[in-house]
Amino acid sequence: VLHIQLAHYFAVDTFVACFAAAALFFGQRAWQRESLVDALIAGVMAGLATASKVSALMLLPVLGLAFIWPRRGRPSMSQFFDGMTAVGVALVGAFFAFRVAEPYAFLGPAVWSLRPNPQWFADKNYWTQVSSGAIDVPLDLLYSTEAVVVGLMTILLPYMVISIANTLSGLDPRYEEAAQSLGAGPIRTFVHVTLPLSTPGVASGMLLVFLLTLSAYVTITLLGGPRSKLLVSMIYDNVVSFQWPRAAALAFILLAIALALTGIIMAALRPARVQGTGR
Amino acid sequence: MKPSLSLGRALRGSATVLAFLLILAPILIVVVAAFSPTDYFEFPPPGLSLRWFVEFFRLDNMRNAFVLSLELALLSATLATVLGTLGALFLARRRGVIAGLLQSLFLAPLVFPTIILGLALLLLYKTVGMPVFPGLLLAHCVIGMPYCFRTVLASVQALDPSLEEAGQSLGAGPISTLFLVTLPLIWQGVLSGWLFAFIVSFGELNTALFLSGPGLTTLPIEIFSYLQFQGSQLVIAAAAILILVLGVLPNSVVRWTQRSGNVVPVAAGIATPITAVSNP
Repeated sequence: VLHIQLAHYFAVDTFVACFAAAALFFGQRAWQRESLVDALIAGVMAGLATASKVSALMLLPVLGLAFIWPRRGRPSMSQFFDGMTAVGVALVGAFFAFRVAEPYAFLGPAVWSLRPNPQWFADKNYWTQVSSGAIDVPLDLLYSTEAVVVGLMTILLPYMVISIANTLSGLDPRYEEAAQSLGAGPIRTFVHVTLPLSTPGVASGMLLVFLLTLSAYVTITLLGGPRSKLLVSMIYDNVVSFQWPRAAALAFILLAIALALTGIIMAALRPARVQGTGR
Repeated sequence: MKPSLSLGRALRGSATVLAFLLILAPILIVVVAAFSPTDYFEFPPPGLSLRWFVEFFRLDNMRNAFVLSLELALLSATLATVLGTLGALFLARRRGVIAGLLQSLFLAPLVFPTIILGLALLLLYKTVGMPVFPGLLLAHCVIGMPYCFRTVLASVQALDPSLEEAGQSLGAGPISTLFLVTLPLIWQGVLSGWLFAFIVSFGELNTALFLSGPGLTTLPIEIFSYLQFQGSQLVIAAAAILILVLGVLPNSVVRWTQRSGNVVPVAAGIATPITAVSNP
């Protein structure tokens, strides 16, 4: 449930916060300048915020109350009517913004159709329960490219760590001490001394992780789902459907890519030349 | 030495915690969830029970897969250790183009994408008409051998050559020198090479995916096919067993090896893929 809440936080709350802030900003401007355009924009923003997250609906009463709040001097009838007009404009703007952003919430093809969709409310209710932890659902993080990337990162991180640690442990500490005695702070020492010297480790780690990623069939299949087809999954599918020559051709392409990129990484970073040794 | 900045220290600490969390959290979740008594995945589990482990060993296909994986890992690790040790003994003190070429050849299976290796072996086996079990054994052996080769190579290179010369000058032939002098001195390298080959073979999936036949599936394949079609608690228990076999058992043996000797072979084994990549 925590992941769902986190995902929810990243996916939804950013938009709500943006739209709500914009709505409040324009609402405040509308209140100051008594401008109906600002009221309209504020309404649209509030509508978008509500479309992002239903709980932003409470922005509307806040805005309405703000509009009819007496500006200066004694409250008068005309001021109240002006405020009411602003509220009306804002409400209309909010409604249309919401109608456009969440067409699923209403029945009927026409934009002005006002019949609400009962299924939409049911869905909202369901997701509310999900995000509060009352119901458990399969994670939405699954079956996406991000899931594959995060999963592979988790699996392959140790290889990178070991690779860099291997190089760093072979590093002469006198280089760093020399840099520090010459007046470089820890950050400068790292950027100008340690980082360049650890390039071989970074390079071989990158190469290793890259090669392992190329053949990581299982992670991709399990986390990426059936929709994300990579070269390895295509090879496997072709083997399973007995199109072996095709699978062999694809495998050859994969091998060619692996070799070519290996060559490029080796040439670009030249791990053997940085320290003068091949280790 | 200047005291490091507290901000830097805090950043470094949080990065470390994050990395550890990234690596350990999935494993922890699997191991904890395997003891859950519920039918479906629920985290944190409402209670603890061994129900799914019992189920795992009661199901024929799971138990068979487990036994096959174990057999395969033991046999292929032993075979790979013998071959890798011989190769390492031959190459340890040789220099030159051919030795370098041979060394790259021994380490090549690490760099080669395993899925391509699996496909290549599949095509080869179909032409030759290889039965399933020896085919799997060979494939696992090929994948595990670089580890044995590297660990033994590291311990032989750390060995003083005068010891072998002394053995030979005292009248021992090459074979009795190997068994009486060299092997007793490098057994830690051989053992850790065997362990790495065992781990790699037990967890191997990419080649076994193509090579396993009907009735002969390894545990990772079994888990994988269960996961693809139904994700039940059983799979989590199976994965936990895999993790226990892969993590706890070899780790304790490595500890024991380290306590009784040097750490060169173990470090060499861990760094095997990296050395394969950095000196091709």
